[in-house]
Amino acid sequence: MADLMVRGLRFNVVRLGPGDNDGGGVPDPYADHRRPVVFLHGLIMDNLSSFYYTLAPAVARTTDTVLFDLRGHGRSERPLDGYRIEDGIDDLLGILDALEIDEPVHLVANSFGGTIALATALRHPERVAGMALIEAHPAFEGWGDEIVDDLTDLVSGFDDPGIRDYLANDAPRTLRRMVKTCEDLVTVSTMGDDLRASEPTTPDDLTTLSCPTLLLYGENSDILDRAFVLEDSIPGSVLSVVDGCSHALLMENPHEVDRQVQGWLDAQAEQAWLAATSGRPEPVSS
Amino acid sequence: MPLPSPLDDAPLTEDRILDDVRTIIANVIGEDYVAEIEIDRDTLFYADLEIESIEFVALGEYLQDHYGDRIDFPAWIATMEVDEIIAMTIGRLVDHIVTSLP
Repeated sequence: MADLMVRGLRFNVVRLGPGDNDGGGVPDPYADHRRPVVFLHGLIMDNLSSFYYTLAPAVARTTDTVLFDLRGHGRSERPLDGYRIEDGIDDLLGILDALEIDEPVHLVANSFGGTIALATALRHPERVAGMALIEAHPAFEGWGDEIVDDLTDLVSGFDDPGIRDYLANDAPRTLRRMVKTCEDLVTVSTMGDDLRASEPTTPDDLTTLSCPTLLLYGENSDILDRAFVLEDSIPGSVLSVVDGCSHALLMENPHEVDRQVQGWLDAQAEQAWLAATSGRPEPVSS
Repeated sequence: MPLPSPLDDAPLTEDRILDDVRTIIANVIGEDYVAEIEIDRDTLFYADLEIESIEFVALGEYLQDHYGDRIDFPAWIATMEVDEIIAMTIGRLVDHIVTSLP
């Protein structure tokens, strides 16, 4: 699968699942109790490939798995506007609707993907069975300004005449395209204004969440303070801090992230299996 | 998106698959760019074609649409470390397709 039209935009969607391969040859005892998994990538320089190359194929051995490029990212369409967090929620739910996935899903999200995951779980709790959040950015008050300042700094770095010359003449195609994506999103689109205008989340809001939540952060992450606020606020959430990693945790230690997320997904399936089988009458032997 | 070349009864020889891969690469990263590069078995996806990660994913999706799920691109990629993916040649991909097909 590749292109899906949702809310008038073309989205690059990849759906993987046990039907796409041999299931690794291992029978899955919880096969009927696994919720679909949707991966949400980070902002600007990121796209679905960061999960495609790390966690997604292993998850897809047992589970219906969806990856997509957020609007403006990767191979999805890049409109001039519509970058508020609320748009991210509507895009996500629109894609699930188009794929006819109406049961609650597990969201596995990195960085800004976590912003969308948290906001979706708050506003549409019936669509979210649980969240595994890697270096999530909650949209607390002032978050929009902070992100926009960081992005503006990033793009202003390209404005040196020497760098412009290098980009125009010698830079590899991948770098030129990355810079163009950054500039389109940060200086041409309304992303900055949209992120600032998005409705903020408060720690109090998070106390109403009821879905299981795994929080993964790097020991040296610059946003580790958010991890502790999330852990305190989200009932029953579990925080795991990975040694020696920064905000780029997923790229720095994909094996550890994979191990923890897979373990968490297995635990959710086991819980669902227990809930479905407990209270059921024992089979009557004749 | 239309398949890069129609499936017909012609045998899927290694040369035929290499031609298909060339066409799919042109579809994914743009014909104008690829026209300037000679693509053979030793061509490197990242160093020579300067392919982006997301384009490599798209290439895999095209291949799977074209040849069927037997080539299982995501599972194949999942067996590799990132440096191995970065060092990927066209020939290695062609060999994977050849060995995956009956």
